[in-house]
Amino acid sequence: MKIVRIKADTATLLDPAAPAWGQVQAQDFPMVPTPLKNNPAIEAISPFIAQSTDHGVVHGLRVAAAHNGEVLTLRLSWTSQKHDTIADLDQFVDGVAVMFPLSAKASAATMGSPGEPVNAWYWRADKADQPFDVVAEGYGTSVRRSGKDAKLQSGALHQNGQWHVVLARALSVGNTHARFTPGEPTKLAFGVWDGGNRERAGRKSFSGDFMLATVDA
Amino acid sequence: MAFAPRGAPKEELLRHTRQVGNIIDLNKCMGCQTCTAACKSLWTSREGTEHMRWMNVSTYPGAGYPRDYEKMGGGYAPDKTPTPGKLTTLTDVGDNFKFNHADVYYGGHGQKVHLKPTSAVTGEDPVWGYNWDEDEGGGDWPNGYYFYLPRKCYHCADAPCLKACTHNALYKREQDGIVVLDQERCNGDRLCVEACPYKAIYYNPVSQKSEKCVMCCPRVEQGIAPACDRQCPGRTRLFGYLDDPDSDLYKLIHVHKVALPLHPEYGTEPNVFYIPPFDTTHAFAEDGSITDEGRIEAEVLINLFGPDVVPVIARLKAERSKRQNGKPSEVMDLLIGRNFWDRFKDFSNDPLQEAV
Repeated sequence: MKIVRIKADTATLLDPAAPAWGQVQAQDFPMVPTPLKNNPAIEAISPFIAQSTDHGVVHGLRVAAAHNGEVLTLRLSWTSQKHDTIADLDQFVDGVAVMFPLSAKASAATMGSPGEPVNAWYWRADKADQPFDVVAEGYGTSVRRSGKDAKLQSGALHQNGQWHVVLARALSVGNTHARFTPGEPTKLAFGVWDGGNRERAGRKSFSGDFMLATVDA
Repeated sequence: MAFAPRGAPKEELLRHTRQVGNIIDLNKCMGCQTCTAACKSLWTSREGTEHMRWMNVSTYPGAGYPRDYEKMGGGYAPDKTPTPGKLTTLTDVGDNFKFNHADVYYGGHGQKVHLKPTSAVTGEDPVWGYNWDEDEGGGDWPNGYYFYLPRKCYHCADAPCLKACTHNALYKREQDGIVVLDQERCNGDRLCVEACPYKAIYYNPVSQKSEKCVMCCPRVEQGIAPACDRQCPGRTRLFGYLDDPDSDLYKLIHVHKVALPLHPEYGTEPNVFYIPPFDTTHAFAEDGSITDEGRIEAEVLINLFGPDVVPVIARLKAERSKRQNGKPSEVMDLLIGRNFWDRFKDFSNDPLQEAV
């Protein structure tokens, strides 16, 4: 996909309803349930979650991506009812994440591996204005880091049965976080959680392995 | 250390060198809730824990606590395949009633306003709460019966909560086999709650992390029995290492074989054992005469403790009649527990003396 250069300030782009997003060509990605059942790697992490068969109800994600020379922004849209509060003990919230490799060999399908980490920006509907920064080196190793320290920002809107979430971060915030350079390609992958379907952890839809994205100079 | 900061194979997290555990004598429990209150005041008076009762006592037959936990799945099938489980709701775990204290005490309404609970879930009159069905029990008139069932986390040998957590937040402590939930690693995914067939893990909606009975591990480290066990005024509890042949606990479980785990069919290998209740009250015959039989139907006890409960009760009755006939019975002596401290052996220290 293309991460286009756009003349717009970050505050504008953080608004999912900003007209500026109309100039950015969006791309649709099919989303599939994560392969949990009969997956030995998942069995080792949790034989219980490995029994899941009814997860991954979000089948598509529309992504528009842009940068203004300083900040990379992604506008993520999908069809879902709104689940944004945990009012009872059996409730979960909607979420979306974009993942980047931190090393050349890192695999998205395994969430990285030892020595080959991945970095993700994780937004959830009950903390809509403060996304998490996540680093992982394989299933079961993901650690949430402060989104504030990573200078991650977000904007969210639920309208007509659709979520529109913008995730934004400076092109570079240090070696332990994904870095983006105008003119050089990057790789990314996506995950979506439907709170109404008790989706969390590995119970989600994902876009498969890392996909190439060009970053306009 | 069985704790691995970046995750580890489940076998590593389950590894332990010794295991502490309990016996609870259901013939002596009087449902006074002293254990519940001891635990509550010690561990769950923080924000978001109001609904939690890591230690709880419910009436059996009854819905239990959390409500209908026996119908919510979790644990393992006989071939060790994980059984999918459900999550509890705030109502299931007893709600968190709000009371009109200010109105009653300071409202100036005199006798017109009375103390009244309101459900935290619905804002209406409560429909369920902790011990809502207390003392209702089962059986048909004139042979109605009930007994009390105190429950806490069973610190299972094959803990399904630990197996279920994708973040390896749960692990067994190497030195005592106590299952603890690392609050740093917990993401609040509640896979552990689904997996636990006893529903002994509770979600804290404020911290957005799950919590459970820690078997009072800070006390255990100082040779002090867990609060629920030590506070029991009925001397229903024994606590200690399950591998200590000199302990009363070991003698009752392994030598005399009169203590059984709850719902062994869940396959989790619990480390809290029960002396099953028998002869709670003698039953009436059809003609109104009093029989020698107890009122609890055998199938009720088999459902709770498995088929072994039948020979166990026969053994207990035989031991009791020894004493009734003036003969010695070690089992009866152990169950009576004349010396308060015998039941705790290595864990007889006083929390007030040990407090730093």
